[in-house]
Amino acid sequence: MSIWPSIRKKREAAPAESRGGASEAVELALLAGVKLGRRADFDTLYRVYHPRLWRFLTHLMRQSEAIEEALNDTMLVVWQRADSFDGRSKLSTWIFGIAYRKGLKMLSRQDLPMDESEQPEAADTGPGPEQQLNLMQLRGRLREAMADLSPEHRAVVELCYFHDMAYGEIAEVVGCPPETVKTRMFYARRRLRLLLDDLAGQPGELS
Amino acid sequence: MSTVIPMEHDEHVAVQALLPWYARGQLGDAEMADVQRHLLHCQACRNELAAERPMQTLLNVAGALPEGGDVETGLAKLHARMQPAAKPAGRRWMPWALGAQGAACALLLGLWLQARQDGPDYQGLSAAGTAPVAADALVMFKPGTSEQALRELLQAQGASVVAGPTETGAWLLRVDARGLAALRAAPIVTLAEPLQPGPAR
Repeated sequence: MSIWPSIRKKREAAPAESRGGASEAVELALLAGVKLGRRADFDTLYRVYHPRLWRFLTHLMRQSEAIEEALNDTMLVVWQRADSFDGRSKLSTWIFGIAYRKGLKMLSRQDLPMDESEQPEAADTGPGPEQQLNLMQLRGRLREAMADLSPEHRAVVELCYFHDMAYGEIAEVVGCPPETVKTRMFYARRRLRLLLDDLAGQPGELS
Repeated sequence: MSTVIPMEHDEHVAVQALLPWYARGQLGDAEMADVQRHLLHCQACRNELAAERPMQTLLNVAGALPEGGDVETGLAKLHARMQPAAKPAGRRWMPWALGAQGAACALLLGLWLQARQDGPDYQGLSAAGTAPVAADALVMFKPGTSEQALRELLQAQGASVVAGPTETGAWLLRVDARGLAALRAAPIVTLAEPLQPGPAR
C-alpha cells in the first residue's frame, strides 16, 4: 500500500495546534473572560474547542445529526457553569468530561441505529483514485472494528490516540477509576490489533 | 498473525494495557520502569509493543475525519440559546443604569435611522460584512506598559484589538503571522499565542 508515506508525511507536517488546540494558559485566560460573561471570549473558546469536540463526539456517537447538538449542549454548560470549574484539573479535562456525559446521554435517549454514512469521504487531493479506494476500504474496516466496541471503549481509544491524554486524565473525563480505563484499553486494543494484523498482511508493512 | 493473550496472565494484561501510553512516554517513572522490566524478559509483550506504532499509523490514517462540522453555523445556533442577561453573576442592575442604557439605545436608534436616510444607494464591499471579527491571537503585556508604547507596537505590526482586556489582563488581537512573531519578540510582551489552529493568515 503505497498510500502510507504521503499521508503520514502530511499528518506529521500539520501544526501541533491542529490536534492539541491553544495552550492551557490561553484557554484559562479565555475562561476567565467567560466567567465575566464576555461573549467574545466565549466565542473564541468555542472556536478553539469545536474541532476537538467534533472529532471526539463523532467517534463516540457515530450519529451525524446529534453531534452538533451534543457539542452545543456541552459548550452551553461551559457558558452557564464556568464558575464551577475549580482548576483542580485541566480545562480540557473538564470540557471533555461534559462532552462525554452529554454524548452518552444523547445516545441512550435516542437509541438510534449507527449511521454508516456519517463520515462522507472528502476529496483528497493527495492519493490517486486507487489509493483513495484503499483509504475508503480502510476507513470502512476501521469503522466496523470501532462499531464492535462499546461507546465507553471507543472513548478511551479516542482520548488516548487522538487527544494525547494520559490514562489518569481519561479516568477523570469518563468518571471511572484508572484501572477501568486500563482494562477498557486492553480489550479495545486487542480488537483493533486483530484488525491491524488482518490489514497489514506482511509484518512491518504499516510501520 | 494476531497475538491472543490469555486473561489469566495478569502481568501481561497489565503491561499491554499500558503500552499505548508507554509508547508515547505518558507514564510515570515507576510504571515506566515496571513495563521496561517486564519487556526485558517477555517476547509476547515486546511483539505487542512493536505493533503499537503501526496501530497508531492505522488509526491516524483511517480515523482521520474528512470534515469537521461548520464552526460558525454551530456557534450561531448556540448564540440563539444563550441568555445574555444571565451574566455576569452577582452584579445588580441599578435603575439609573437601566435608564442610561435606554437613553443610549434611543440615541443609537436615532443615529442608525439618520444614517439609513443619509446613506448612499450603493454599498462598498468593506461595509457589506456584518460578521464579528475573529481574533487571531491572545497577547499579554508587561505590567506598567504605557499606552503610547502599546499603541506604537500594535500600529507597527498592523495589529488591532478585537476584545480585552480579559480578567487576567490579556487582549485578543487581529494580527497576521509576521506581526504575531514580532509581538512575541517585543520586550513589552509577556505572552503572544495564536488562537486559530493551522497556519496564521
